[in-house]
Amino acid sequence: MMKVIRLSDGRIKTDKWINRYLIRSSLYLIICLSLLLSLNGSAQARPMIVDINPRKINIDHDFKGISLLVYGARNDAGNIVIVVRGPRENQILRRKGRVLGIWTNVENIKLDDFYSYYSVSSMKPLTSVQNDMLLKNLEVGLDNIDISYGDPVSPKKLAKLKRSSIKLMKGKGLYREDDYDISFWGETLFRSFIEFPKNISKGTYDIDVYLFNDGLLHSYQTLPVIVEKVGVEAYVQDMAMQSPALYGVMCVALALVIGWLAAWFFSKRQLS
Amino acid sequence: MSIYLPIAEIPINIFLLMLVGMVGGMMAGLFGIGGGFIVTPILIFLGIPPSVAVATSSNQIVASSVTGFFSHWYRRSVDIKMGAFLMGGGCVGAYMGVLIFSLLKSVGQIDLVISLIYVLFLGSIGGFMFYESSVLMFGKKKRGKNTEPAEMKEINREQFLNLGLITRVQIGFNRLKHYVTKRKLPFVTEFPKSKLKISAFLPLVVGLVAGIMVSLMGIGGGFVLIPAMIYLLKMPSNIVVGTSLFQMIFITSLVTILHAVNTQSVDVVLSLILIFGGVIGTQIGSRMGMKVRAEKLRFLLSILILTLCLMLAANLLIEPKDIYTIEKVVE
Repeated sequence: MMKVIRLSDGRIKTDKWINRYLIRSSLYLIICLSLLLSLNGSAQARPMIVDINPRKINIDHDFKGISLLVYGARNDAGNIVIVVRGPRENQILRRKGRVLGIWTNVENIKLDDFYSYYSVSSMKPLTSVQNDMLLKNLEVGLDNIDISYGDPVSPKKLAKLKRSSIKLMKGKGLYREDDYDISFWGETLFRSFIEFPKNISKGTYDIDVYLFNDGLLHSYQTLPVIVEKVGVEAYVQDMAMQSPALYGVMCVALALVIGWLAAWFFSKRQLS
Repeated sequence: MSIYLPIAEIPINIFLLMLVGMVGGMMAGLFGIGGGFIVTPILIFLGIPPSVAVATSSNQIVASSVTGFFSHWYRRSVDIKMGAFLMGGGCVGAYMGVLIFSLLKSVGQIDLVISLIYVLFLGSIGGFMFYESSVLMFGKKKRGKNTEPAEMKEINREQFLNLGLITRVQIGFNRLKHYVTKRKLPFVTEFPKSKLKISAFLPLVVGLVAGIMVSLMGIGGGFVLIPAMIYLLKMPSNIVVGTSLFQMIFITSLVTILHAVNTQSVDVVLSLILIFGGVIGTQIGSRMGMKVRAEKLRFLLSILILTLCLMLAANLLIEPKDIYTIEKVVE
């Protein structure tokens, strides 16, 4: 026999619905618990729903950069911080010096697993979080990025190198930090635009949204954005990297054929 | 309209690139030099990484030398045997050049070396052309006295040191020429087309030097090969250009493939645009060449070359805005 219950708002539901409700709520509980565990109990998981648009970025032949919309709702007070981290790459930082009057690279410093893109947008300045240790551990804020240098360097030099690497990346539009960059509709709904310049690398970008309150992390959500090269360019690049010999032969063959065609075409025209 | 270059990894205006290709082609049509040594530095100034600029220009030269070769082939002005010997040396040189290139790239000095070589080359060629054409244009009908100062006369060390720099260079060159041409080197080979009987070492060494330059500078090597073929190998001048174009096809093809494998810096999209620009430019150039006075053109070209040289030199000498640069490591 089907059990019938009456809810407080007057709607009538059957037990089938209750079963579904129970399954769904237990799922939510598991998600919340795992979130709690993953944050080491440093915060109570409170719902903050975030989504992005688009979820995938295609780099094609006339890609000029894109703005990505991050939007969502928070159900609690606090400072929202959106951090976007690009795929990690090995990079080389070169320092120029004067040798015999000529400016040339005198020092090459390897940067291992360096974020190819990094952007921080926040509702209020990061200092208002009032927990520098937490920000440092989460790598939130340009000053808190962990950069590992291939060779050991002194702390004083490290700070200098870090400053110049970040400055260079900022100059390329690949690193940015913006306070007051999240706009609100009322108290709950928020949105922000993240600018991706035309020179971004392909790979998976993590969009991490944090809700800080009273120096603690209250809520956290992460979403991936996939950046891909599409079209002929992507095909060419893959071929050049994966089968370079074949690619080289193809380049030469193309040049030979075009050169020969040009010779044939113009010699015919000169004769006539 | 901009186009994304997949290997250089930058978007760039397609018409601008066409124009660069056309300038290179016009050089070829006007002066018979493959515009490689103009195209490569311009590409670098447009923001294309020097390694990509060099590797891609060599691919473009494959096309332009094929076109040039055919017109000489119809006129039977190619010495295939001599070309094959030059090519033998050239292949070794090209391989050495690409190895040097990879080594320099890994220690971060490739940009400096490319710029330095170009400053020296463009400076000396531009300076010489400027001097020559301005003398021709602005009167001074004084004939060169044709003095070859103290050429083969034995002079001692003190006398040598008292001479001016240019004279010393001249004497050095004459000695080299003497050593190379008069000495009995082994493996004497006959080159029927050139009507020559010389040691096989000579074309091999000439080819080797040119091959290194092709892979390091992204040029066809014509302006090294042609004087060397005329003055050192003493080939008849009517077959010099065809023969150098013949061997250039193979050397630049090899260099393109070696660069593609070793440095992954050949951009096929860029090279196609340059090739198309070059084909058009060559036709414009050869038509223009019939109407305009050669000295005037040479004069303009020398100014263009000297400007490029000064711009490259300024890049090396002026303190950069930021002494740090950052770049991706390509594994």
